[in-house]
Amino acid sequence: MTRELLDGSSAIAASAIAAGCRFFAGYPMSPFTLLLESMSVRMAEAGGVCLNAESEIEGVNMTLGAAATGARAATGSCGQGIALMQEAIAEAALNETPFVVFNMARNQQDYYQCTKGGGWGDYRTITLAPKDVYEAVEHAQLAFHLADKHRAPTILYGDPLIAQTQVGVEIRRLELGELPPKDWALDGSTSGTGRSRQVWTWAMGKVTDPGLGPDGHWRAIADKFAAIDAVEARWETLYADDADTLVVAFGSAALFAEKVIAGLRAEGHRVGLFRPITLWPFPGPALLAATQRVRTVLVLEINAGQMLDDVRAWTAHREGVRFIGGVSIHESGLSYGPLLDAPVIRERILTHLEPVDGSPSAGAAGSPAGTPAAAAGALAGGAR
Amino acid sequence: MVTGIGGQGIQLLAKTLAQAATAAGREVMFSAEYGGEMRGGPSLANVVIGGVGTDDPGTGTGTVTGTGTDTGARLTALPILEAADAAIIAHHHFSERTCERLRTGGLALLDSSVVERDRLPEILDLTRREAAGEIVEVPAADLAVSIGAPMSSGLILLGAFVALTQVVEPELLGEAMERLLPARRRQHIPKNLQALRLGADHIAAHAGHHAPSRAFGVPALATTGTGTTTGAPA
Repeated sequence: MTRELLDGSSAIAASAIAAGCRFFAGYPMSPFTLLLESMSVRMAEAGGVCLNAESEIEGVNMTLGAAATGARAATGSCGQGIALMQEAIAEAALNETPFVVFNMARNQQDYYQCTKGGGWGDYRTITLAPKDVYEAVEHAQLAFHLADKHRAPTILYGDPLIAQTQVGVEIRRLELGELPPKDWALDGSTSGTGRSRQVWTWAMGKVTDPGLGPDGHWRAIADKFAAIDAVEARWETLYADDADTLVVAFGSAALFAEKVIAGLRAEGHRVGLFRPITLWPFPGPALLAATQRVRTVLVLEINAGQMLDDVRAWTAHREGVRFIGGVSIHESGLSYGPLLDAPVIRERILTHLEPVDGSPSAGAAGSPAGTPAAAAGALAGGAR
Repeated sequence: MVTGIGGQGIQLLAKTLAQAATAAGREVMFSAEYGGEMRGGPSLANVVIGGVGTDDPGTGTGTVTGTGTDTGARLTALPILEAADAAIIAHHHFSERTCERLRTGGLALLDSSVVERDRLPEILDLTRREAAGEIVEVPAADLAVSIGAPMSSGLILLGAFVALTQVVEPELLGEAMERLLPARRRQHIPKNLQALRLGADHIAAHAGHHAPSRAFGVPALATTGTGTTTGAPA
């Protein structure tokens, strides 16, 4: 298999285009800028359109417009730029326009705004959190698939390590299943018939062709997201079956935790990892099941505690939840600080572990249920 | 791990190695950290080549696993390495983390025309490592000036590193370097190729002064083309 050494930004751009994305509009903001630059070259080669918008608000609205015509369209930003996009993301959720937002975040402080949303109304946003470039390449295509499947905007939560680290990847279109036809797209086909299609949050339709209106439509949208919540959660567990202590982490924090935990297991500690892959829907029921016999739940995230709320809501024994993360920012402000480092994370976990006694534990390294290879394939396997 | 300051060609050297190893069919991870300064600030790069070096899940350079997904094998290396089997130290400034994380028995290749030995962090334990034959010095910056290519010291170090470790075929380095150079730098290709050879020749000429690196075992690639590579240290 021939591989190309690509940084995550280029790999995500190439993967999105392989998935059929033909419109991209965004505004530069590190570490998202690499993705915009890559798109500006690759989209032209693919015969699509890439626009450097004048602001994040303009970019996301351009993307909404392109998506309304039925094209696979995307935008991206990070941090405060995503904050600017909240209104448009909410509108697209309420008027059922699918597109992908590549949030190449600077750190893990975007969790709230991705999962709780800062726009108006009863909507939620499917958010995928890859742990490395390999998974980001898959998620770049899955994000479009889920957006089209549910007619809603989706977010891919990346970060500086995913944006800038290079690994060998082979990009090709993934077959992710059948999708409904885009018979709602504004493609001009009903021009002159008096029955034009509308993209309208209030869904009032026309006097001659009334829609559900705000009451019926917004209730239907709320029901839709409740239905998505029940089927689209994804997660991964490692060494969790016999764990006394369970670390919960997402994205790059989970990548580092995984390595540290493998080492701790080899030393005899009964510690495992629970990794939400979708931040929304948060895999609450799966976490409840995974924590039934766990004494301590250690939440590791590089922020002041955002996923912590969701972990507390679902952990089987809430009093055992401990926060071992924190705000940790590189001096440039653009990336992670010293907390995202294996020896530091190892110490934070170790302070909550009991000393290993002389006898080997049942969950020593080598347990097939806990190996990374056994837990892989969670992309499809995590959905209930 | 490769460490130096802005302007020493650290990123190009590391990316060249990463590209060459990928062209050789290996699983590779490249990661970097540097600031905004074009000259004088820290420049750090990490290259992990799957199946090469210590394969220890707790602190290892990387383990290649086959997941059976469309994207094939994955290298489980962290972008911020906890430990490394080798270090290329082009400057004593900003070298603390690299010196701290070089494994016992690992190779340390120093640019002796720039690095001030008494300003290296104590944690490197230079005296002990030197006695164990783990330190190799190449006067890369001086050699670069001698061939009229002062910017090429990083590639001299790379040529030396590959001669010491044989982690990739040397020919692949030149090809990778040419692919990496932007249009405005292509006039440096001939001198860059000369620099790669010069580093290798320096090692060959001084072979009696150091032991071959014990940290690197370079296993043969799987020939079945499954996309999964496994490796064991030599």
